Amino acid sequence: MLARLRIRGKLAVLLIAPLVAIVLLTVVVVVDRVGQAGRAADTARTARVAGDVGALIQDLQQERLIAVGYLVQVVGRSRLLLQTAAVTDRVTNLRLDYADDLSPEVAEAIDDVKSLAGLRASLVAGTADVEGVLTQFTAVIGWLIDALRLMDAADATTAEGRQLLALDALLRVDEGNSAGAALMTVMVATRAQRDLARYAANAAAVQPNLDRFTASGTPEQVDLYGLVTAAFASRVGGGFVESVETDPAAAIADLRVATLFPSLESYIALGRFVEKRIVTDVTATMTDLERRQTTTAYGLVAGMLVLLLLVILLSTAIARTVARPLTLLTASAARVAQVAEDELVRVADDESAAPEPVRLERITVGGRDEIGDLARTFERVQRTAAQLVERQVASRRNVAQMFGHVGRRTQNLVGRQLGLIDQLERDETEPDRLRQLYRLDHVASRLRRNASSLVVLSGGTGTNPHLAPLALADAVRLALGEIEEYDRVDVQLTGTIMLAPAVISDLVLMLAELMENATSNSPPHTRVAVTTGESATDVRVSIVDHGIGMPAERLTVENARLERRERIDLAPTEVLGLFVVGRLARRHGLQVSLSDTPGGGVTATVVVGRELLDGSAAPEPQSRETIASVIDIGALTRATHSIDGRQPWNAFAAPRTLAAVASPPAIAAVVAPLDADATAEIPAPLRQPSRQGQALRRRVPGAQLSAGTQAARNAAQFVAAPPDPSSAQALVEAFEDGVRRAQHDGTAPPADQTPPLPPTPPLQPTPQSQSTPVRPATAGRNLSRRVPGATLQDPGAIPRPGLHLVESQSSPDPDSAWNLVEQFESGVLRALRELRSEGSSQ
Amino acid sequence: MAQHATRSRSLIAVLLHCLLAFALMAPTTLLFARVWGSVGEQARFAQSERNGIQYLRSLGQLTIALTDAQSAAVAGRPFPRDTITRVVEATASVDARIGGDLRTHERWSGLRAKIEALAALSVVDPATAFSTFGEATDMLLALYKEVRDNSQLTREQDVDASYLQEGAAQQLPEAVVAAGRFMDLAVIAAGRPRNDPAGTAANLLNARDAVTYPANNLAAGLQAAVDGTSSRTLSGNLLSRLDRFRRGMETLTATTVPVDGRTAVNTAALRDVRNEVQTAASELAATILDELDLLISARIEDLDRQRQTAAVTLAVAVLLALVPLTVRLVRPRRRPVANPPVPPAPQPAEDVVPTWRREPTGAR
Repeated sequence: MLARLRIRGKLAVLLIAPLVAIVLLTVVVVVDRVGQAGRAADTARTARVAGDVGALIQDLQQERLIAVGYLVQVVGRSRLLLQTAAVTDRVTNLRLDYADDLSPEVAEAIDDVKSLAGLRASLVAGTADVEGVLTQFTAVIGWLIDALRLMDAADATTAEGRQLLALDALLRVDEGNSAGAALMTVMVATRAQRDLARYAANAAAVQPNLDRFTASGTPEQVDLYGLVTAAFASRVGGGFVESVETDPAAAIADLRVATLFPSLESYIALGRFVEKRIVTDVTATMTDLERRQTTTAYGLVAGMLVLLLLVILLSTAIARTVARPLTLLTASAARVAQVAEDELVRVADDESAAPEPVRLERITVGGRDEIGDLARTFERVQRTAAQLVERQVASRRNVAQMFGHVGRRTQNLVGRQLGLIDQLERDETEPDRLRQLYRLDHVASRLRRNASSLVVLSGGTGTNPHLAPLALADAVRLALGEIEEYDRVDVQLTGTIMLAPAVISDLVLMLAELMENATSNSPPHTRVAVTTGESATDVRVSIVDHGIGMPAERLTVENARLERRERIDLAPTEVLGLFVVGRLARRHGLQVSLSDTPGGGVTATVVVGRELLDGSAAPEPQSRETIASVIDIGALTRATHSIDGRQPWNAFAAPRTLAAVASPPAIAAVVAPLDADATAEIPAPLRQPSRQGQALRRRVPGAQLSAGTQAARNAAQFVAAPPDPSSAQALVEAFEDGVRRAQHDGTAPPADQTPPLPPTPPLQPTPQSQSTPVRPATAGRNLSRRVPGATLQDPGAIPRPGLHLVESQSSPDPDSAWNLVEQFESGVLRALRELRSEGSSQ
Repeated sequence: MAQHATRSRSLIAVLLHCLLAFALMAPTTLLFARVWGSVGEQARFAQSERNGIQYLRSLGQLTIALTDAQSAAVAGRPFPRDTITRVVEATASVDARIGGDLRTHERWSGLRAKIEALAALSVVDPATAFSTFGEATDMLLALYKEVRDNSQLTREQDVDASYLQEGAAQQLPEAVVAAGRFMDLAVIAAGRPRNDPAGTAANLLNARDAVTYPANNLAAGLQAAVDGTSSRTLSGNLLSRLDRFRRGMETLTATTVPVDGRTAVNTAALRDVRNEVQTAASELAATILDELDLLISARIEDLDRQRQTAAVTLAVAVLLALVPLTVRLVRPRRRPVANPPVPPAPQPAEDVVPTWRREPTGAR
């Protein structure tokens, strides 16, 4: 039960018992106070009624005295009538003032005053006697006093109760005195013995009440009554009270009714003052008491409410001080958990190179209590967690950078190795050694591919040497040159698809990985086919192998891996190639998918969007030339050579390219000095290949710029006539290709197929230049030519497309010429850059 | 722009708070103003009554002194001019102080001139002295009425105070003056040749009735005041004085002065009764005025309490009305929450950067 409550609820449970106790106690006390106040009000009201009824009683007493006086003929009838009217008025006022507030007894007693009507009538008529007057008035007055029931209402233990008793006694004393005054009037008037006795009896009857009053009245009231007694004594003489008991006749001997009556009339009014004093005392005391009790009750209730409010506010505040930090802590913990989750997601998705620092809000919980301690400790936990995550990110980044550095360094080294191998290949003439060198070249290429993969794995990007569009077929060929069992790959490309420069190197790497995957995961006797398909929006390159394939679930997993980002250190190592492919595909927005090949095996499909193709330039003949001038000629050549042994397939299959290159006049001007220069540098046996009948060296050392001195010299020469190693090499390559073709077709060489590459004499002012046009012509079939693929495997069944250099003799147009100039300039820039980089690396 | 909108919104909120405060305060202030004004009016009323009571006190002294002087003059004795002068000076100082408020300056000036003229009077025959002093006492009674009217005592609402003021300012002076005249008439009648006993008897009877009537009324009035009062001292204090006064009057009217016109008056007894009546009247007047003053003082205190309560209520109301406004003004204005630290936008993936723009990372 308690466990389910929150902190506020628990506090409420804690507080509810004392609060209820306080409320109950307060209610008890307040009820008591209210009761006391009510009783005080009742007492005050009783006293007030008694006072007002006392006034009526006094009026009746006056009327009785006047009636007696009337009977003894000391006052006129008008006085009697006036007094009767006064009594009637008083009755009416009483009934109206108190309406229904009077007790039934009092109301009845007041109504009984009307029973005096008969007596009054007989008085006026002169038929009444003193006896009747005294009896009836006394009876009515006595009933009125009894009806007030002050004795019953009074609690003698309390001061106000005693006051009510005193009032009751005083009313009776006054009645006794008043009756005594009437009796005295009669007594003095008649001087009859019977009246004397009655007066004495009445005086004796007054005494007990007087004693009661003296006992219960306050000293002031008793003193006040003493004044009344004194007033009586002063009216009838000092020793009257004593002497009237012993000798009434002698005591009243000096009294005359005519003078006595007015003094008695004023005398009986005096008792009323004392009564009024008691009534006002009681009323004031009781009103004061009532006010005090009421104030106390209100104060208690207000105090209790304030206390309740205070407790509620305090408990709310305390609950807040407890619950709020806890809520904050919970929120902080949730944030930390969220950050950790986010971090987990982010490390699985590690392609963003810039790790964000983890930001956690400070927990703003002060306080020195346990919750504050908890908050501070949690703050530490949070900070530590953040540091942990940051450190993890940093360490992962460092490892990736390490990979990247190693990969790039390896790339550099392999690049230089390839250059060296290249140089050796050029210098080597012996076929066996040359074959070994080619194999070494091939291994180095694969090594470089591995280095590139490592760079990709590290998250970095490798260099992209491609500045111009490249045909997809060339890209496939470059890729082929980087895998081991390239000879099992059949490339069946249709159409001419040009790739945008940005994607080339990565696509080559991708294709290489896919082809490597295909070849290594299929039996050696099967073949792997590379085909393309075009649609309006993309180009699909499919690599189809015929191995045992993959189970469907594995296929799903690998496809997912290709699409989804995945951390390298979480991926199984056997699919690193696919990881590389996936990362590159995501980088360029390529779609790569694996599917089953019908009849067994796996088909990997790369979808290259149109936006990655260089669509505008594709069909233009100039673009081929562009490629020739800027692509990594060396790599392409090596790839070509690696494949050539098996498939005599020309990387520069488009014949128009060379035709354009060879076309005058712009290029010829470039070629001429270049060739002249190159020829000059060529060793003697190579310089006159046709005449010496030796194998034609197809490499032009200056084109590779592998030697510093050579490069420097070339550079110096290029100042005069801007040299372009690449284009020069392209020319040389084309030339060599022609030679090779000539050699290859040596068995049945049609004379007209000889490429008319050499320009016309006007363009060859130097003597060396004259040898160049001779070169293709004299490249006889007996020329010893390095055939890289020849030693590797069986020749491919696919017919090698021939070079149709003849077709390239198209008419020159301004656009192509302008393109050539531009390419030339970019080639110069590139050469200069390579010079710089080689110079720095050596 | 947003700040401007926020400021104008908060300005509108402040204005609304002001309006609310005003709406809360306006009725309270109106009620307070009415209560304050009404209570203030009552307090001024009561203060004016107290001034009247003060004036009546000095007039009471003057009445006794004047009737004494009249008796002396009628009896042919030298009357105490010092006493008269002292009382007149006392009354003159009271009149100078509060006569302006009570608008009695002129009346008092006239009366004072009359009294001073009387004081300067040499010995004359009793009848002349009687009539001359009679004019002065008539003027004195008129001044009583003027004071009573102008001090608002006649408009007294409370039963007890109303009867008390009537007794002190009207019935008691009348009774005292009438008693003096009655006794002086008796003295004159005693000194005169008894050629017209019937006329003398008629005069004396008239004079006696003139005494009895206000005295009885006074007794009845004081009785009514005691019946209607809630004062705890009134009945006790009045009891003995009123009794003494009534007994004095009864003695005077019933026994001391024979009204048959033939019996000679006992001058010594008359002087005793006269002294007794004067003393009792003086005491009674002082007591009545004291009680009246007490009642009105209590009322003024009550009115002061009402004023304080009203002021406190208004203050509390104003505070309550101002609390929201004050809170609004004092509370630090909520500043727009600072933008949470936005994590830096993920840097564009490196591979988006065109590769040909990047420096070569390694020598090829």
